[in-house]
Amino acid sequence: MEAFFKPVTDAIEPLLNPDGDEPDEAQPTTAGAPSTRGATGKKEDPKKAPAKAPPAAKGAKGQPAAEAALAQYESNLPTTSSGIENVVICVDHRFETLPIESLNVFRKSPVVARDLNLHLHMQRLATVDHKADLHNNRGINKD
Amino acid sequence: MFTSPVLPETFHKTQRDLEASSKPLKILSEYFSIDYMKENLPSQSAFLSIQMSEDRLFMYIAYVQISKERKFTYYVSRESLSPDSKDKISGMVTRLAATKVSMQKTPITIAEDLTALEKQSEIEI
Repeated sequence: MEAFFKPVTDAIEPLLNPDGDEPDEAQPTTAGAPSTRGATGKKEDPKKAPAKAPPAAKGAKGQPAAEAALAQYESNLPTTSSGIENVVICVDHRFETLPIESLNVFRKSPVVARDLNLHLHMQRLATVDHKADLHNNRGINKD
Repeated sequence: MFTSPVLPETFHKTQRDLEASSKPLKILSEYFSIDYMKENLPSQSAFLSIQMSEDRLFMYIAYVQISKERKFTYYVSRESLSPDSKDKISGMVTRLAATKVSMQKTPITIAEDLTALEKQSEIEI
């Protein structure tokens, strides 16, 4: 299957995983302190993430502090090196029985899903009232 | 759909009313504009579409990924399929279907039966 879909995987590999293989991914993590990779690509320790973010610093230095505080609320899902959290595969019905999710190119994607086509997927998102400008990892703007 | 003009108007009215009230039909026939999709597809997501041509000679590949900063990256391609690769993938699909049927039909009475069946299926695949 890898050989058949090689044109596909060769094309999307540099887009999905631009940094290539990361050696630390293969290394076993120490027990009790599993490290994860956050949406920002920086290493994060889930144990260190507080349930409540600290208050943002005031004044001119507030912006970096606010960003740091916001990072606590970001998803802990390990993302690909391009920062992609989920991949949706819309595949021809003649391939639908094949386990395309198991292709090596998706090895770092935390969520791989399927749908019939992009319009139907958009319809599902519209049904649950998804708003891309609200459902992001950038938090909610103050009034 | 049978749309002969000699049919009474009530027939067409019933048909139209049925189509207008059908939610599945509305979902299936609704298309979103590219602008709407660019605005509303979730960030940090990617979409891969793989489609074969009707004559099975080509495979169309479309890929889009949306970064956290809402930057869109596209890849669109058409790959021609060699008879060998077509045969190989058809064989794989058939084998998987046969394995699925085999797993569904094989009677399982004890846990060891399931383990043996799983092992056998793995070997076949």
